[in-house]
Amino acid sequence: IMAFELPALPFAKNALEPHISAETLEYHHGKHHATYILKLNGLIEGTELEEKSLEDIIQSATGPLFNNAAQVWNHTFYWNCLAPNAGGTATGKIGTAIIKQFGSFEAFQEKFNDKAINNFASSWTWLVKKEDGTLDIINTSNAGTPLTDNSVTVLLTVDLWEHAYYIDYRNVRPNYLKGFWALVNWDFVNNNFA
Amino acid sequence: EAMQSQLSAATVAVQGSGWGWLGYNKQRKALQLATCPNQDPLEASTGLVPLFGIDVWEHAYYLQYKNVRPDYVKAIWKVANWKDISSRYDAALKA
Repeated sequence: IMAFELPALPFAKNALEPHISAETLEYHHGKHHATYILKLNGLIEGTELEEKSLEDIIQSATGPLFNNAAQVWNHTFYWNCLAPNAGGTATGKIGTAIIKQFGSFEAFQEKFNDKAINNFASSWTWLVKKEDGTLDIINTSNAGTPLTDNSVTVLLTVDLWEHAYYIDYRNVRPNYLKGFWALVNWDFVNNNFA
Repeated sequence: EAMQSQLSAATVAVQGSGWGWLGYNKQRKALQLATCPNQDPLEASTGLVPLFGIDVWEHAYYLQYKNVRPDYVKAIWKVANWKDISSRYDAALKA
């Protein structure tokens, strides 16, 4: 029987500066992500769900259980999408696939940004690989996650809830996205793509 | 106080972005509490006449309260414009 634990950030709190501040991470990881873990543990305590993996819980959950479990997963995935001394043009197999499908990395980035900027309210934008091997850019709302869509493989995400960028960028989501692109951990994306 | 604590609780519990509302139900001729997601308009989606709304999109409170939405919802009552709320209520009664 295991309670879920808040995973440590895969980098130091100030490692993503100036794109994402240590202050943002203190709240985003230390409060928001931590609270989802706390609430999830509270909901599964004393139930058979304590024996299940996070992914298994998410697949069958609804309501508050889904909201908290999915947000735990979404945020862990998001931290892994970011790294210091990373970002820029996509490298490796995913870099090649992006150019093949979108014509250029810039064309892909423009499409992704367009989806992300127009993603209304609390939401996430994702890069996924479909069953036929092609890439797709999709939006989800609130705690929604493509993890529950068994026809896609999740590759990359950006958190568009205002708590992800309000401290550093206030309302200017496009500037947050610029910062995001300077941090994308293409090694992680390539691992997911393989 | 009961209305305040019920509306506060419902508003804090809104998932993601949304609004908490004190509204007027014209059919039942009674006050009614509601929450709406995102920017969904109260009257169009529930039929209630809006009297007092609490914005809980994170941009409404993040600078001052960060993640602590309950503190913001507690504080908003200190600046609720009861004059405006009353005149909306009066208008709803007459309509």
